[in-house]
Amino acid sequence: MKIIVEFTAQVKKAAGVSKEEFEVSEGTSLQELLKEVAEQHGPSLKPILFPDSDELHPSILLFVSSKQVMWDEPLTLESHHVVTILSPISGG
Amino acid sequence: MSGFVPLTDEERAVYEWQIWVPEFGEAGQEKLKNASVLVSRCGGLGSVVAYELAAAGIGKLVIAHAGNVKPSDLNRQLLMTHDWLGKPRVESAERRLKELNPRLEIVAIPENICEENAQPIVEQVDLIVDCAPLFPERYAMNRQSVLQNKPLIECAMYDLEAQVTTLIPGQTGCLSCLFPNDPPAWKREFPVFGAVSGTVGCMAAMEAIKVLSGIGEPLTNQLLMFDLREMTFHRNTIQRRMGCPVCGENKC
Repeated sequence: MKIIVEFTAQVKKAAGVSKEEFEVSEGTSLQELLKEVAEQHGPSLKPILFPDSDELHPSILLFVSSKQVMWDEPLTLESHHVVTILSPISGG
Repeated sequence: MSGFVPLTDEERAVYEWQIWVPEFGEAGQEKLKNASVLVSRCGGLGSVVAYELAAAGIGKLVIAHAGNVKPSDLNRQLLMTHDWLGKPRVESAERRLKELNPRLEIVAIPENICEENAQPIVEQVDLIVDCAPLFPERYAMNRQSVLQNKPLIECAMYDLEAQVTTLIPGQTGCLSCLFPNDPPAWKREFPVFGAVSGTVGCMAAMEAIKVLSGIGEPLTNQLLMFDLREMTFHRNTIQRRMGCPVCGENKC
């Protein structure tokens, strides 16, 4: 199934695109998708999303179809889901 | 809000068009007149927030912003002017706000908010609009918002993107629920147009007016994100963290 991933702010800058379609198999979790996204974008995105470990950096927020999902919250993706990866901004 | 002061005939004339707004009326205008708001800082966001609140007839503004006006402020910090280059920003801001609304009471503080000064500054107001460019300033205001039980409007921009949400102690999570860690990737200087900060600044001012006057539905438990490059707007539901060290069950 296809999942749309949207990038915002500095995550978008690192990814180089505002959104992207990912082909994942049935039963894929949000967490597995995030790791795949980080791997595909390698040196630009991985240091922002997973700088130290397999844990998503706590400053990064995730939304699945407009609802926030915590990193430690198990979630199996469905074909209608849109995943948004948000990096905080503080521009004054 | 102590010592409630009614509107004068001059104020009824100035605010006539917004007094016509259904549900707002003269009672809403009186609430704004008797309300006080902290705007920190008065940069790209805060200039527009403060200007719109001054135009709307807020009674008192506390503005906090350190430093002098620089040339690079002038593409977006609409309370700063060329003739004030090299002079204190809060003086430029106060002067411009007074030109627009001479009735406005202004407390101009030539400092940025920090953990040391946040408490007495927040004690002077009913509501905070957070327009700071650095997370430590934002966290200081957030802590006082929770401790003093005062609404906090959060707004921010980067490039052609912006975010805004309304945090109300007891009804929503706080800034530390949303962003528990100071993001390491955030830099003090960033790309932006004044029209982007102006757009989100107007939205934040409207949220302040709604919360203070009791009209409409504030942007609580939701983060509005928009991208003016593509003209896309999304409202996302956000969560409260029960273990939040600032507002959660085990807060300090």
